Amino acid sequence: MSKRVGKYLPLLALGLLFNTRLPTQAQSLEEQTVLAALALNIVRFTTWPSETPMKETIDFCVIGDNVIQQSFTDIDHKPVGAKTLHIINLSRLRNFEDCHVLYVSELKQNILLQVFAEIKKRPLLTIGESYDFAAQGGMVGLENVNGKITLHVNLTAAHESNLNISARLLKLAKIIGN
Amino acid sequence: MKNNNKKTAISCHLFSAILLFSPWVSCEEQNEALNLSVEDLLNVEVTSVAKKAQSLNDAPAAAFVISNEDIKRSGATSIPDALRLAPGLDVAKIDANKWAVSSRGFNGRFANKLLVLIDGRNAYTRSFAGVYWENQDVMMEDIDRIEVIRGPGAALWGANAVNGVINIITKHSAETQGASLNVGGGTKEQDFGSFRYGAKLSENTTARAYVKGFNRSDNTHLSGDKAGDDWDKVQGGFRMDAQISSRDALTTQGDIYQTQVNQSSYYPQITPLFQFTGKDTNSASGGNVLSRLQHTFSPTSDYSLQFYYDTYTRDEGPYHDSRNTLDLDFQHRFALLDRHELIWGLGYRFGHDHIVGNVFPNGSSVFTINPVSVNDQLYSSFIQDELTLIDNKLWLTLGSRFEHNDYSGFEGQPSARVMWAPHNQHRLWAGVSRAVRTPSRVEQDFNLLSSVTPPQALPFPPFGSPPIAVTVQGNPDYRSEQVITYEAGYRTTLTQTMSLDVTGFYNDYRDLRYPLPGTPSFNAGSIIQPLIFTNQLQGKTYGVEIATIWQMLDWWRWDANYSWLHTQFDNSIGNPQTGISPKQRVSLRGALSPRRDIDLDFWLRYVDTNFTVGTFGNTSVKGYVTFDLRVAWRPYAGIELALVGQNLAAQKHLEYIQENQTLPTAIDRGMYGKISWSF
Repeated sequence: MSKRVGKYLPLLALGLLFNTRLPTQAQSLEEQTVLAALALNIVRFTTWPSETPMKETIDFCVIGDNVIQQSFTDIDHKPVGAKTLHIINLSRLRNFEDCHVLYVSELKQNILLQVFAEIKKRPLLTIGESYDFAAQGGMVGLENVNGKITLHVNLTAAHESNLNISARLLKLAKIIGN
Repeated sequence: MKNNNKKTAISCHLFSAILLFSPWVSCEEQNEALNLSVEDLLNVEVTSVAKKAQSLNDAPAAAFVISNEDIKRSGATSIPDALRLAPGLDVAKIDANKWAVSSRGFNGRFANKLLVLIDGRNAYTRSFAGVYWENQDVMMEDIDRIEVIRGPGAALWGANAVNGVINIITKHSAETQGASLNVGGGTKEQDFGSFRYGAKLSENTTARAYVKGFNRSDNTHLSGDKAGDDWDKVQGGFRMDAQISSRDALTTQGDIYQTQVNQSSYYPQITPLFQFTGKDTNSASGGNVLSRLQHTFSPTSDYSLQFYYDTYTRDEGPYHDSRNTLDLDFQHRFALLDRHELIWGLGYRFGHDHIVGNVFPNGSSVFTINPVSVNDQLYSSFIQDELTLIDNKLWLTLGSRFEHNDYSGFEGQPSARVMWAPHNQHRLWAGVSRAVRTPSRVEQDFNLLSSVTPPQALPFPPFGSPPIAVTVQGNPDYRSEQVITYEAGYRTTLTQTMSLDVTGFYNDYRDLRYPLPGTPSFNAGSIIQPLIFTNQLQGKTYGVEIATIWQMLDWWRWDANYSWLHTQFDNSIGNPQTGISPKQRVSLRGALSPRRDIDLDFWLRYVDTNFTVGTFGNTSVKGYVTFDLRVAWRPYAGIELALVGQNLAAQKHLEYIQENQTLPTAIDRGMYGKISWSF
């Protein structure tokens, strides 16, 4: 018996090496991939004011490290209505006027507040990775609550910028403010 | 279908492994998420376990970050023990209460080429040019991270960051709300406890306070006797963070501690028996208070103004050392034109010390210093420009620090670094920097009786040679040691679950400390042979440091690092009288979480031969292999029970022999249990 087990041990070890997920967690997906897919959907459910300068592309600016940037390459060039999404990795916190969407993975609190101050009332959809992001002046906060993403929307911030987020999305979100 | 998936996964991983340098190979699940509806995306279970294995540090330097989780899972109970997690660092425990910690060689009880900052406060003392590690502590549970930067950090951080900088950063008080109680005990970690409470003081102000204490029991001498190196400590502190306005944040924090340190020491004396051993009880106490105002003008511009006061008093057998330090620091960061990010700053430090030699109960003394008290000042300024040459791809960082100190005068410490990110998965960097290690107080002003050779009977009695006393003498003309460092590194995420960080360096040292024999003199029947500190030693080191993280399974991560170091001195002037750090070090850590409520950790360490010099002669401390194990169980939310075994491979092992005073002490195997309760 033990001999037979021993025979299969190398196979078992190999199986462990390559099976990157426990069977019980088979339905789980990598967080950043899900966040990128959600961000794409949020853009699809958002309408910019008609006077917004926007040609064929919706310019989606990303502030984040290499992992974040990598996850957004998958949604680059995806169609959004008649337009396509165009990912721009911002290495400096400037030229926000070139963006239609600003995705902030992580920023120091003091800097984030100044980013909000700088882009206030511009037609710029802001998406971040926490409840606080939306509570402090961002529009959409994606929060990981016990392994699932919760959507927080700050309607006041969106309205001030004349952005319209579809009711279908709002139904799925927790609303901050009126 | 399932089989098929696995095949795809395998071929995907193999593919990425083969095409190391190719652009990102997009594996399995990427598109899976894109096919889901918003409803499904919000319902799917997400994991971010591989994040640590994927993210690449963007610093053009050999940087390594030890996280709060790393510290917890390592079972380390002190800062120096936690530093063993980093590659390139040489951490050796001298006895229960002393450590030798250095980066890239030159280790010693007062390793003088590594700068240590705790929340922006300098822990490196001018008295001995080094760190009293036993004085440095924080509530380990409240550490946010420890940033370890190997290589010169002088351009940004200032003098003495010759071979590295360690930044210990505690959490913002908003992240430590509520109570945390930790108690435990064991064989070496006899008993310990800590309690922290964090609260919101007002709409915009959060704060925390903590108190901690421990008793650590003694180790064993090589002879098998008890080493008598047990010690205890109590420490308390607070931190308060206030958001004064949307632009201004104020942090105020402080700590106070008292420790009693026992050790069995060895001292020479000029009269028979020419040496004596003693059980010393040393006491040390100290405290600090720090305040930092940060004003943010815009996303690309802010300044910070920091003030701190630090004091410590230490009574050792041979000497008393107390020091008061007042430090002011200003930094301003801003963007210029479209491509420059500048940081510049000014600093001022005032120090007042009181160092005196003690007389032992038997009437002898080994340490004198003149003058006993000195005020010193340090003025410094720095400027650094990070220039983006190609957007998202290529950066050049130029900077320098200019400072003036009362020991060696003016020092300039420039640095140039370049970073290239050809792809999300790859970072290449290279740099050249100059840094100095400024003289300590003792190096200029002290006199230490280092050893006494007893009188020798000559073959024709009654004649004999008199006792020979070797004294180490400070030198008022002692200058700074300097290094020019060339470094290059490569970081990559090999696959979605594995990252690799490789650094190579070459250090060219000049003006290293060398005790030069002076003219012997005859005094009261003894020959006094002085050894005077000079800057005559040259040397070079080179080496490679490799760190890798592999998230093998969602619940099983490997952290491995390997360091190789070669040290070479110019022997033309004689024996360099300098310790040589281990040539090779390996750390291999496995962190398993087979269930959400259970952690299993093991940590294997190999350290090569350590060459120490001192009053016990030049000794090769044998290399050793040891390992730690930890198991933790969280039966209820907020409660964790942990059992940790440390240095399990042998009953005891020697890591280092201190330059003088402390008798060689082997570190015992240890075991402790800990209960943590957050509420």
